[in-house]
Amino acid sequence: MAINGLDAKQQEKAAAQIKGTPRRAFLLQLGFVLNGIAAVLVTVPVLGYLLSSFRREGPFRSWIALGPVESFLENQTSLAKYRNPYTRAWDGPTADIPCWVRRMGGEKFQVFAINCTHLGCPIRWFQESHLFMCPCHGGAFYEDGSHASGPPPRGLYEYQYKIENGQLWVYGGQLPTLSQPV
Amino acid sequence: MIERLRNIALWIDDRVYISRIFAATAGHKVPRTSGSWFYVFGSGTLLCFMIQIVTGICLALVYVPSANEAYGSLEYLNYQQQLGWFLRAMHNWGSNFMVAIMLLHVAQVFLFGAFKYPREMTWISGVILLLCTLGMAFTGQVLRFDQDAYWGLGIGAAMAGRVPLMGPPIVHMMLGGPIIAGETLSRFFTLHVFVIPGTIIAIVSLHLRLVLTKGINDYPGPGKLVKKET
Repeated sequence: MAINGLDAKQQEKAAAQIKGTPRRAFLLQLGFVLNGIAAVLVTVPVLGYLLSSFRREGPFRSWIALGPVESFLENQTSLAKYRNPYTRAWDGPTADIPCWVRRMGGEKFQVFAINCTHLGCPIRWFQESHLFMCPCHGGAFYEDGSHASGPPPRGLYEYQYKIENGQLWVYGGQLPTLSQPV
Repeated sequence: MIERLRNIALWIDDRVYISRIFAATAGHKVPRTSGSWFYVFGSGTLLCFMIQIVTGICLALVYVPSANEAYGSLEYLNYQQQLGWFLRAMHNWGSNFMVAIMLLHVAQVFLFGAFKYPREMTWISGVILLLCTLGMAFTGQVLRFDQDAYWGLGIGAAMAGRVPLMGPPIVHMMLGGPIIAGETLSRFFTLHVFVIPGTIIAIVSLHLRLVLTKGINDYPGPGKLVKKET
């Protein structure tokens, strides 16, 4: 603690005095406490705001209509697209989610997520080879979605589906990952 | 007139010590053998960073961080905004060069053994800067919000989803929602424009302070012993 106009000895004395004064020490501690309270008052709402996105409440997943059953040909696999049920006004085309619909005949379907189970790249259906193939690292899947070759650790993510009022519905609404498939 | 300007400059310098900072940095003594081209990569990376700040601010004047409009605003920059294409190209090349020159810097420091005592903290702060720079490169390419950015985020989410137990909440936090959409872009925009650059500026200050206080290393040579005091 440097105090101008005093020699070293006097400075030492002054510093010792300041240190030893109970009122000053008290006010210093009070200052710390008040600043701490202010810091908490600011931090709590900020953390609450930020951490709110860890909490995944709300109906992110729901039943989504993909279109009339007749629009999917029997023994064919085709691309369908839906608007994600949970969306914001400024999402634009990013909330349009594609998926692969395989109609095995009658009301038997399989609906696969677009994302490869390796790292989420968009898989594509090849009618010629009857395989789904991923452009990123060469993952391949059979027409029933099971793993054929490459790095993917499992078969394709498959949506739950139902048929109601002549429409094909799937249950979805979030990006599928290994720990949370569809 | 010149005398007057000189007096003004001296008046300011008396109060803010610019010449002293200059003498302490540009006039800082280094080993004679360190006057080598091998020692320019750090300054080179910093120069790239400064170019990135200037061009980044210019691009932010026009760019719209909205999932629906981001790509359209880039097309506006490319085709309508005067010299917009040039600044975008500078920012793009600047980022490539920043990463490349930074890696040269890391390799040089590693091979010359400059990370050793007493410069461990210079190295550690440099590693943080390396991570920040790579973070800037990733978050920056996300801002285009084209197919590349979208599926790049998908890969990021797939990786985050592999974290044991905490996977799904981390993915949700990263995307700002259940899918890659509007809030994902806002998040990466905030990281790219506020959070990471602020961190870089703070750590670069520390890094440069350490370069001055702990010095830089002597040019190594076979059989040349390192002086303990340097």
